[in-house]
Amino acid sequence: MTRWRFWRRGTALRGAAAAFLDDELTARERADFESELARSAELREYVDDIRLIQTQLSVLREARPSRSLELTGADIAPQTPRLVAAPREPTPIRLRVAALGAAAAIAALAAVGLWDALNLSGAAVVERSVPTAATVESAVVESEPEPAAEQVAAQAEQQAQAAAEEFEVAEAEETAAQQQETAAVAALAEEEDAAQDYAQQEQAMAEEEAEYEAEAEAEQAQQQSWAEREQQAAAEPETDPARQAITARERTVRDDSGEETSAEQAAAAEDAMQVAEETAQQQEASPEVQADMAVEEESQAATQQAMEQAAASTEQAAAAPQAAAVEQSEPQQPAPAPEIRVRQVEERTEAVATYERGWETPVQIALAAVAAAVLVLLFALRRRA
Amino acid sequence: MPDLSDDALEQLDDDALADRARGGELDAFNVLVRRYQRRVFGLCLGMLRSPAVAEDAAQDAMIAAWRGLDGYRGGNFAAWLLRIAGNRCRDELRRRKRRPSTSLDALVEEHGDAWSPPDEARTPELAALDRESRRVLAAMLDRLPEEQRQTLLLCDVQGLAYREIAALTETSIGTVKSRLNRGRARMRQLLLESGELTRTRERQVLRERIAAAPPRGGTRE
Repeated sequence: MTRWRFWRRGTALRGAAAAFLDDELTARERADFESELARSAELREYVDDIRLIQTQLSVLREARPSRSLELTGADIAPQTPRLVAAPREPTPIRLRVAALGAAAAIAALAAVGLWDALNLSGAAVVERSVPTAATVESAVVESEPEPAAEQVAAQAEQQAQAAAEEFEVAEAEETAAQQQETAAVAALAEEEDAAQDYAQQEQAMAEEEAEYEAEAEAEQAQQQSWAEREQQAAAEPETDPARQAITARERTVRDDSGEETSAEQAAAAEDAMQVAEETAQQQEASPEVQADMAVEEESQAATQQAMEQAAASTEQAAAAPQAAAVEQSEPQQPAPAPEIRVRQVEERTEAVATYERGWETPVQIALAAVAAAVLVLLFALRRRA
Repeated sequence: MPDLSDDALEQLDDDALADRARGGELDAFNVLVRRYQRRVFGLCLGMLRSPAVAEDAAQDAMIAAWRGLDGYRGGNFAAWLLRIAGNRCRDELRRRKRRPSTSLDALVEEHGDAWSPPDEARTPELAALDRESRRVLAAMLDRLPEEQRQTLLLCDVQGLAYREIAALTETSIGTVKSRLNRGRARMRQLLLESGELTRTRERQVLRERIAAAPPRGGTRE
């Protein structure tokens, strides 16, 4: 216990000896240490040895360099870069992956852009010359919600102005075309009216000719049937009074159509017809009479058929000039209504606006963002490496 | 700033010279170099033991101080300069650990005179005693840990105060006291074990007698 206390006290005194020699003690500490130094011979020996070492070490202070360390202009000149670069370490895998991703993103972006260009380039060239109000509206609408930089807004404004100018020019051209078209339609209407009048006249003339021909054919057929009956009557003498009355009547009718008759013969014929009718009413018709009636009905049906044929030929003759007139008045391609044309032009200009948007399609924006992010990551990783 | 002659520059204090050097005046900085180059070289030599390596390290420390003048905020220019030199020496020692080095004894034998160049005012006997003392002390210093050796050099060789050493080594004053106490005790123990402590005492007594004796020339006259 006593030795430990002595060792602990000695350690503290040796620590204080260093401060005593370096003059780092306060006045009170220095007085306490000096009193202890006067009592302990061991402590005095220790302090003397340390002071000796200090004195010997101070000899080293006299060291001086063999040359002056003053600086010259060459010493403070900026350092030139090394001509031989250090050997590069192999590229880490993450850098390779990042570079591969960047290349893939750029390739996909280029492919999408090329695809759009191939699909829209033809339509854009054709349709760009027909701007309308839809183009102006689409350009304005596209430029307003863009949260991009001022350049994008300025470009959109320029596009809107250009589209407005093109729209004015196109509108003027369209108005002139409409006026020309109206004049042409009026001229065509006059020509059409004249053609219709001519066709109506032609049709009326054809109908008259057809009627004449039908009447002539019917008369000819009736005369033919009459001639046949006369031949039959001449071959067989008439015994039946009714039949004689009919023959007389036919003759009377035939005489009315142009042959010479006499009034007595007509009166006699009428009397004979009355007698024959009365007789026929009183007596039932004989089979011969029925056969004559059938022959007569047959001749009437043939006459009606001939008249129908004549009417059909008359209609065909009338329809021919009308068709010619219609063909003459009909234009090569019917012009669509103005509303339809405006709608078509708006649709085409919408297609142009879609093509002009280009980079604003979501797929292209997403690919561009991915490519930019990968490039930034690659740059950061490279700098960190 | 007006241009000054070398004599006028020598009259300026450290901070004024540092201000002029910060403005690009190399002559002003070289005045500071001449003023502290021996202390810087002494620190480097104490830590690196090789005069050639110590000179290179001291030169590098001067160049680094020139380029880092913007970081000097006034006060003790010597302490700031020695701090830069100490960092250079530590870097050199780290490099040396990674490659084979020459033994201390060989360096001391080869460059024993580097600690004290010939001084015409000294007698040959005194010069011989100092040379022997430096050789022994260098060998003992080499056996100390790096931190204790650097603290002993800064305190007993360069004469810096505890506060300056603490700031230079970025440690506390208590740490400086502890390193000094242990380093000196270790030096005493090594000298006692090797028997050099007694011879050192004898050399010290002889040195004091030689220094106190009148010059030989005067005796003849």
